[in-house]
Parts: sequence; structure tokens; C-alpha cells
Amino acid sequence: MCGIVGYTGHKPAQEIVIESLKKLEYRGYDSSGIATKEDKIRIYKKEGPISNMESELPESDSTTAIAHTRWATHGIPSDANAHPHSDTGNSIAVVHNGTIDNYLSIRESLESEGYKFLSESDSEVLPFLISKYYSGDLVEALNKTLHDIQGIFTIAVIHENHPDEIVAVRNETPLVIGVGSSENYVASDIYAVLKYTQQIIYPDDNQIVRITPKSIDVFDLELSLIDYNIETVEKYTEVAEKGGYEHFMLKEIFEQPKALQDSGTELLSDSKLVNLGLNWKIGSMSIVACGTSYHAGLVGKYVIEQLTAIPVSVSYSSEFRYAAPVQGVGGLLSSRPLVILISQSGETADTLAAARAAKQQGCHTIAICNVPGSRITREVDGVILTKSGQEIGVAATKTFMTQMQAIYALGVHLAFNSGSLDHPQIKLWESEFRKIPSTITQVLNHCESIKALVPHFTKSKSVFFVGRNINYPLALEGALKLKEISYIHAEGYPAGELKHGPLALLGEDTPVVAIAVQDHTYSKLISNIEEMSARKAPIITVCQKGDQHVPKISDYYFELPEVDPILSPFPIAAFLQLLSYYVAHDLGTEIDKPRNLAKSVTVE
Amino acid sequence: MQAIILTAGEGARLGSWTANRPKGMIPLGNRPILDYLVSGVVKSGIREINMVVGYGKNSVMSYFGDGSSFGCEINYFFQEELTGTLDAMVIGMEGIKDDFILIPGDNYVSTESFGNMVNVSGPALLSGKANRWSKWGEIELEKGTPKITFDNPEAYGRMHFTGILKINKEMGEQLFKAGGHHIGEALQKLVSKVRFEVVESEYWHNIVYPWDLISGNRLALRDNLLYRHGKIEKNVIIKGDVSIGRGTVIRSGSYLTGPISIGESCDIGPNTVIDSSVSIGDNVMISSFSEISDSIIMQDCNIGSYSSLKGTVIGNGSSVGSHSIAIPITRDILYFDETFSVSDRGAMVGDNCKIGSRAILQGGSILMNNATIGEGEFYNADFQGENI
Repeated sequence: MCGIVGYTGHKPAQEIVIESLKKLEYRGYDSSGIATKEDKIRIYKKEGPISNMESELPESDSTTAIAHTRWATHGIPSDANAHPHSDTGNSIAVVHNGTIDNYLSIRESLESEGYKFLSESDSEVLPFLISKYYSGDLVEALNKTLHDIQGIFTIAVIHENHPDEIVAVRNETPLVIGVGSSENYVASDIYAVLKYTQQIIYPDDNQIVRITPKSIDVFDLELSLIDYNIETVEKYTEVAEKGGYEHFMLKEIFEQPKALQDSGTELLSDSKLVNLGLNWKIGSMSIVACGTSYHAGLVGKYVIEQLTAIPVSVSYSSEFRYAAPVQGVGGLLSSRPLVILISQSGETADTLAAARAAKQQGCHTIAICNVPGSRITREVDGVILTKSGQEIGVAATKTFMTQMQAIYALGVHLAFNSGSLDHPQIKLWESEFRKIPSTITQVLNHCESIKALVPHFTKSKSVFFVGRNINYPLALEGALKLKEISYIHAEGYPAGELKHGPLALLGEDTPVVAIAVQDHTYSKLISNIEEMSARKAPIITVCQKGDQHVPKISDYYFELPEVDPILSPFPIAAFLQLLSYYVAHDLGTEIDKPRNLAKSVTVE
Repeated sequence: MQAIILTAGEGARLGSWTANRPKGMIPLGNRPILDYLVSGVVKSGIREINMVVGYGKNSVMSYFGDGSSFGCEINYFFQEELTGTLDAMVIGMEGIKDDFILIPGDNYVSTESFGNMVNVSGPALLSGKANRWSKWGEIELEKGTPKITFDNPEAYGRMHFTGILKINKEMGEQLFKAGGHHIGEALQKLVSKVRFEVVESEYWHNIVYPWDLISGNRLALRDNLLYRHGKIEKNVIIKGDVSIGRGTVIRSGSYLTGPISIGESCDIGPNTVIDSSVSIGDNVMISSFSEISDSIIMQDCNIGSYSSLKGTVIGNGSSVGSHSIAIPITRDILYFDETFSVSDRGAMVGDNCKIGSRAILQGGSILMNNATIGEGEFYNADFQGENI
């Protein structure tokens, strides 16, 4: 779970790889390092974010370099455990993303052969193995190494005897090759190289790639040359700068109306959903995702079940994969079950594994994903691409919105297919969809009144978020946002469940955020709020415009713009994001890079 | 050369349309006024822009980002208290190295103006023909030396200072020391000491009042960006410069005469007539047999069938029932305790208004945000709604 870049060409490589590496910081920022080819291989690495390493970096005119940013799996974040790793004679430098499952046994046997290890990292076996097998050809040495190791990995290697050559390989973790003129790149994703080139090669698992400034060769495991396709990807005009905002997260929250507009336009035009070919009688559905995407999936369950009466089960990817098939596909009786996988990056290891499990069980798989060309889009039967643009903040915001939008659209489409919605109703839905961006804008315009709620949270040790029905997932999402960026413990609960346990924890210093929209659960929710209020917990509610009742029983309240209850998750999500952001801001935490986290998690 | 764009002010005299954004973010020709300024500045070769934001800053920052999609680098500076254009200029002068162009962000000028100013070697003023008295002052040339005066109220057709000037860092400091209510007054004091060259903008519009939006829109559509996406059904006639955004459908039998700019995901027609100088934002639905000319329909609006809208502004998220009309007349209206004569203007409708079917909006009537006009009502007042 790390980021890798490499460059070989005619320009000073150090600047280019550091610039590219910064685009990969979302993949981890525990430590970073760079290897360049001076007289010998020179490795420079440092604990902490990339800026720590960059500030002390000596000058280099090497035209070949590889670099790495780490999210610790084996061994604590430290200088020694940082990549690149090298062998005894420093003839080689290796960067690695992933895990080597059998590294302990390899390490023991290498140690018995006299090799001296310097770190606790599993990756360190790689340089020793490659250097042991090296006899003049780096591709051959890497190939032999592949026979010894098990696990998931992307590896990039440079060697002192091959000054302008980078050799790389992947197995289950991402690797892309950027094709330039008299210069070439390797990287963990396209964003790292898009500034320099839009010509991309996506190598398959266990294909060894050798790049030099003038050539790209792809080998299979028999070391015979194979053909590859160069694809041209759309250029992202948005660049990863904060544009006046204090944090990426805030910038991304304010970009939501545009993200929804762009994604919505894409969804509604050119019959994107019709082309998915979901025209059989779907008996059951599963939605599979992790983290915030999981919450988007839960919202989807309520929407789709309400619109189509198709039973929907929602699972965490890491659980779905190992579940008995009956649970995974939502019932044995159903024919060709539909499985929806949601992953912002399209590289989430848990979700990818779940996608494969679902396919194996004969399910039809659809991915909702924000990164074109990403791994998951290549493995499933159909793809719905959201157009949020790149999201840098580790806490997902705009991608959550567009994921929900995609699921709503899918729900409406399935409802139409199954006959539960007819043409005029579809028209009505479409016009409601069009209003979502402006509804969000109206919430964002009231950011000052959300900021005013902050003092009620900053001193609490624990916060509860409650909601019912379609807004129960929003309670979960609100709690997740708050805990991941402000480090205040927070829990999301269905409003009716507090009385079965958590009520014991409520008191003056545990504020409750209650989501109260006027749907069929409204009256029950009111009595739930009364119960919590009776335990002296400060009640902060989100209610609909014109609600006469809820403000009276709340200590503080936020009024949503006019919105139908079924679409209320959109403005409510914007409210919860801003609330978490301002609380974290007040506490002075690292909002864009919360401790111990990374944006896309490519280990299981 | 760098540029400073001042867009911190509220623009209160525009009422509803600046409820959540500064004046410069009001869409004319489907783009904010600031977009024309930034594009013009970039076209002149300037790559570094300091933007001073304050009121409604998020709308500006979300639109322009770091400037990379506009081909420049934009740095933001915050004016928390709105104490005037001179203070704003000083805030924006951080990081200014030498020469810069100073631009108040509510001016619409021809985009070539900036290039013409860059080409002048010394300090320069941008002038324009005013259609009414301007706060920036009138420019009189005395033996080639410009003089700024404020005493002539009969300004129609005369040469005025647009508020846009090119100076260097040192002169910026002098300008600030000279003091006054705004840049125009400070410049009046400085202009005798420094030799300014006067550069003329081909056209100029200073957006101050709601009825300026219509004339601003006419001008802005001169710079209509031409793009044609979406779906155009059979038997649609399109003449002149018509831009159509992604996901938009123009249904059969519609007749469009440019310049027109239509945003994304709109649904127009069948049998709808859109005449020249019309801007339509994203997600707008216009039903059949309606006729729209010389108007701005902002995003998320819904216009019923058989409606006739001329010289009209409809704010974000408003709906207009079927058989509603807004027809221009010439009349005097009372606005902020002043009387103005407006001509060829229909209704000026704020955000999220609801206009019932068969409503008649008399020319020059103004509706503030969230106002409602009932079915079949006749409306001719100057104000209505929550703001006033």
C-alpha cells in the first residue's frame, strides 16, 4: 500500500519523480525515498511526508530515478524501513508496493547464506534476491525472483550497471507506464504522470516491463517479448492545488455541485445506463464496498428497495469475499444476481477481491468508480464512471455524492425496467436529479451557520449521530467523517437503536446529531429525540425547511433547503462534511492526511 | 507583468443576484463576468493573477481553482472587512514584483483591452464610453494629458475611466497614500504627477443595477464561446452563433437565432423560439410554444409552455408557469430610493421564485429571491420578496 514512480529520459529525473510522487501521497505518507544513478546508486530516504525528504535532498543530475511513498504494513514508519531498499553492495535499488507473504522464510534462508538485513520491512528480501540472481540481465534476475516470492506487489528496480533502465512488474497492485518522447515513466497510477504524458500502457499481472528513454519492452514469464497497447487517456484539467482553500477537503466539498453536475450530465445523456444491458428480471442484488463507499451503498439499498422491490444486501468488501455464497449473492433462488461494487479509486484491494469472488459465483458485476482505466473497470461486466475529478483529501466527500447519484440513477433505471416506474415519473425523477447540485450549493452558502455549531463538539470525548431509514447510513457517514479527521470518537446509530444499549453512554458531554426529515419515520424519530434529550444530551438536529416541531425539541438546529425526503441524503451529506471539517479545523488536526490512513487501500 | 483582480465587494445594488456571490460571478453569456476578465488577461500574455476575494469567496475559488484550467496561476488574497478598493489593492499587491494591471471585477470590457495596455511601455489608463455617470470619473484630455473629473453628471457617451489601470509597484503605493474613497479619487490626485497613456476599450459596461444584466448579457454574447454538444432533433433551425452544452436536447420544430448560449442538461422545445441575445444556464427546461428573447435564464429554471419572456432575467431555480408573459416597456422605477428610467427591460426575477400560470409581469418590475406570484396575477411593483 504505497506509491511508486520512476523516470528515465533526458531531463534531470529527481525533480520529475518528486513532483509525480506528490500526486501519489494519497497512497501513504509514513515515509518516502528516492534512488538516483550517480557514480553509483544513491538512495535518499526519510520518515514522514515527502516534504521531509525533499528538504534535505542533495542535488542530482541523474536522468533516471525511482521513488516511493510508504504506508506502513510490515515494520514501523522509520528511515530504515523506508524505500528504496538496496543490497549489500548498494548496486541496486528497489521500490515495492504490496506485501510479500513468504518473506520470513526467504529472509531466513538468505540470512543463513550470509546476507545482512538492515530493516524490518518485507520488501528488503527483493533487492537481495534480485542481486543474487543477477548475471548481467535485470529482467532475467527479476523473473527468477518472481518464482520465489508470493504475495501482491508492484516492484520497480534500477541497477548501477544499467544507468538508464527501469524494470518493473506487478501482481494485483497497480502499475502504469507513461509513454513520452525520448523519456518514459512508471507509476502507481495515471495521475502521477498525466502532467507529462497522456499515452498510457496498462501492463497485466506478471508481465515484466523494461523501460529506457527510447524503448519499452514487455516480457511474459517465459521472457518472450509480447505486444502491448498504448491508450490515450483524457487529460484532467484540475490540478492538485488548493486554489485558495485552506485544505483540499474544503475545496472538494465546495466542488460538489460541479462534480454532481458533470456526473449527472454524463449519466442522463447517451443512455449510459441502458448500455449496461440490465434487462433481465433481477431477483436479488448485492452492493459491496468499503468505508464511505459502503455508506453510499447502504443509501442505495433503501432507494433501490423502495423503487424496485428487489431485495438488496449490502456488505463490506472484506466480509463479502469470505462469506458463504448464499449470503454473498443474496439468495439461492435468484437467477443471475447483480453485484454492484463501489470503489472511488478502482484499486481497493478488498473490493477487487470481492469482484473476483462475485464473478466466480456467476454474478453480473457492475462497478461504480471515479478513475477511468483503473483496475476494477477492467475486471467487471459493466462500469458506471462518476466524474468527480481527482479527490486528494483522504476523507471522501465529492466522490460520496457522485456515488450516491449514480446509485439513485441506477435505481430509477431498474425501476423503469421492472415496470415500477412509468414515463411521467421518470421525467419527474430526472428533473429532481437536476436540482441536486443547486440544493448542495444552498447548503454550502450557509457554511457560516454550520461553523457556529463547532463549540458544541470540540470538548466532547464522544459524539452520536442518529437517523432513520434512508438517513441511517448518513448517520454512519457523519460519524465516520468526524472520527477520521477530528479524532473525536463518534458512532452512527439508527435512531431507534439507542434505547437498546448506547443510551447508557449519553449525558451532558455527549452531543447527539439527529437527522430528522419528514418521511414516514418522522413521528418515531421525534420520540427518539425526546428520549435522548431526557438524558441531558445536547441535541443538534438537521431538519427540513419549515419544520415547526423539531426546532422546539432541539438545542440547536440546521434547516435544509427545500428537498424531497428521498433526496435528503445529498444536502445532509454536505452538512455533515462541513460540520466535521470545521470541528477538525478548530482542533487543528491534519485534515487532508489523517494519521495512519491513506486514500486508497490496496492491501486486504 | 502581473494582474490584480478585485472581487471582494458585495454589489448590494444588484439585490437578489448577489445574495451568495460577488457581482463578478453573475453569469452573462453563461460565464461569470470574471471569466471574461481572466481570459482577457491571460490572452494578453499575463500568467500570474492575484485575486482579492471576500464576499462570496467560495463561489470564486471553486470556479477558478488554481487557475491552471485558465492557463495561469491564480493566488487568492482575503479582504475580510470591505473597506474599499484601495485597501483591496494593497492586500492584492503582496508578491507583486513590478508592473501590474489593476482590475475591479465588475467591469465588462473588450478582451483585447488588456493586450493593448500591456503594449504601452509606461503607466496606462483604460477608458471606455459610458452609458451613464460612472463613479470612477470622467477623463478629459488636456494637451494629451489626462485629467479625471467628477463634476459632470451628464455623462452619456463621454469618455470615462473604467477603473482599470496599469501601474508599477511604487505607483501602487503612491496611489494608496493619495487616499480617497476609491481608485478613481486617488488617481485624480496622482494623475498630475505621472504621465499616463489613455487606452480605449472598444466597449465597456459597468454592472451596477439589475437592468445592467440585460445589456451586459448582450455584450458578453459577443465573446460567445462556440461549442455544440447535446442532441439536436430533426427540423430544428439554428442561425448565427449558438452554443449548446453537453446533455442538452433541442426538440423538433424549435427556432434559434444567435447569439445564444445554452448550458448543460437542458431540455428545450418542441416548437420553442429563442431569439438573439439569450443565455440559458444548466438544467433549464423550456416547454413548447414559448418565446424567449434578449434574456438571461439562469440555471435550474423551469419555463412553462406558451410563455413569452423578453428583456428578462430569471434567477437560479425559479419556475415560470405556462402562459406567463414579461414584456418590456419604458418607465420610471424606484430603486433604493432613487428613480431610474429603464427601457426595453422585462421583469427581473431573483433566485427560487415561483411565478404562477397566466401571470403578467410588467416591464421593469423586480422580484427579489423566493418571491411568489400567484396564478393569473398582474405584477408591476418595483420590489417584492424577503430582502426588501
